[in-house]
Amino acid sequence: MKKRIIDYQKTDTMKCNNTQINALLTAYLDNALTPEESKMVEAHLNDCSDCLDELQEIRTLHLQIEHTPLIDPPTDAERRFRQMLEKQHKPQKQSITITVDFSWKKIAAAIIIFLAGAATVLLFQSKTDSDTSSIAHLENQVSQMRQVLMTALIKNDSPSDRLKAVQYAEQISGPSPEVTNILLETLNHDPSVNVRLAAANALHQFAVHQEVRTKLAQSLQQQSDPMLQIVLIKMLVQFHERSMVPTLQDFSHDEKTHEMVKKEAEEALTVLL
Amino acid sequence: MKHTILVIIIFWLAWQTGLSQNQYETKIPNIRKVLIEKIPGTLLIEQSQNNVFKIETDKEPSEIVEDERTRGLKPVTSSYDNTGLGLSLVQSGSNVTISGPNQFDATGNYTIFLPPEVEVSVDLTNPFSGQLVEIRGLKNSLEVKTLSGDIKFSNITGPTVFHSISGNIEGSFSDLNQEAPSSIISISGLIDLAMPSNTKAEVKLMSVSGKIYSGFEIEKEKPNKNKDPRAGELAQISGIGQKTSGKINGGGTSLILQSISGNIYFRNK
Repeated sequence: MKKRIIDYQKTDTMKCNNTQINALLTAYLDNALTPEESKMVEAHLNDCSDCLDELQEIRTLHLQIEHTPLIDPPTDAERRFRQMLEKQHKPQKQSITITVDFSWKKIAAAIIIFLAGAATVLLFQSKTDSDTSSIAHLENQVSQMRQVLMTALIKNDSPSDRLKAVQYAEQISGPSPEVTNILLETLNHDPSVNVRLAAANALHQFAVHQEVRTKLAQSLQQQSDPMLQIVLIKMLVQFHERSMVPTLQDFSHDEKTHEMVKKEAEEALTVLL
Repeated sequence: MKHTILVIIIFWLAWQTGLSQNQYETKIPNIRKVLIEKIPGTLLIEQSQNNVFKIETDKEPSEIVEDERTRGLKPVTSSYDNTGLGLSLVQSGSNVTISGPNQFDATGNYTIFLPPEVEVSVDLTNPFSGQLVEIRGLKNSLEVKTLSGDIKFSNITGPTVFHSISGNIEGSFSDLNQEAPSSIISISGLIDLAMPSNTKAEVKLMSVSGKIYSGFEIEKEKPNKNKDPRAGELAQISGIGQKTSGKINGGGTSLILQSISGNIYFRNK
């Protein structure tokens, strides 16, 4: 109460800036000061009318309080007070569990750590996801590029360029039937035996498919180069391709067939028949 | 008497130089490819400069028969002599074709000088073709096909696509062009190839019944993922024929050497 009055004095009526004296005024009225302090306050009050007025006001207030009659509290005051207490008790309890400094900090720390961890994991995951997806995308693009290059190069005049085209075809991941067809076309019609042979070797990996094997067996019929004949026979024997049996019989009977091809054909026939 | 001998020697020398100067030269710019076919005798190919196409022969002029009746007429077939040396040289677009007559003639030697940058394709699979083609110092892209003719070369870089049925293929590279793959195949002839020891390549050496020798350390490649579902995780031990493939000096362009019965000698120098 005293404090409030002092504050009031400070803000509104107080013009003297001597806060030290001002703080002592109430105590001076209560005779609670040391003789030195009292002398100091009295000396100041002689000089400062503001503080004297202040003192007067405080004294008047004190007197008013002293003359205010005492009122007995209502009989149910205590019960109402307890009820009020209990009303406030519950929300207070809840607020305690949440707002107790110690656990709050812990929770906050845990949440921050969790969020940071989750963020890192998410970031990392999304990064690797985007990495792998972009790598797959790149690979796809490279494959497409190879296919475009291959289809362009395979028509080239220079046999080394066509060899390069066949090499691209080998490197295309998940080659399309289009690529297989170009390789078969090359195997059957390329003017250079070297390129045809490269195409045959490139087709080796697709020989697991029956339709490719059938076409390889058909190709064997038209090949005149002994090297190609041998490579195709060896490849098809690996997969036990029986559709080449008539061609092999032709080879073994034909006098013009290269000696080594004949040998190869006869060996293949013993395996297949 | 002394004078007579001297005069004879001078005349003989003049005649000889006359022979060696039996040549044809022309400049044709912007040529992309030269096709050389049906050249009789032996053929030597060397490098020229500045779009110069030059042909030399040691054939005696009397051997080159000029048909009087052709005067004033333009040839229609490609097999005619417009060089005065028994060969024709025809340009069509960015291609030049040099070809010999459709007749058997094993005499004489031809030397053809070609500009750098042009692709060279030599086709001696015609029965009238000679028995030897030798290529010296060409940095061009080379394709050579022969039946029984030998293919010799020195200081070339490729890329090369050589194929012979029964001829031997032998020579040395000064460097291996990394732009495109090189492939050398002989059916029953041998392949004897020397390359600088620092050559980078991915080599495939294969012979059906011949033996393969290598001066290079070939780093064997990991066996390919086997496409045979039954094989599962089993490694493939044998491919087609006797096959060795792997990298030399860490790998580079693809280099394929294949034969059926000829041996393969792959030397480092």
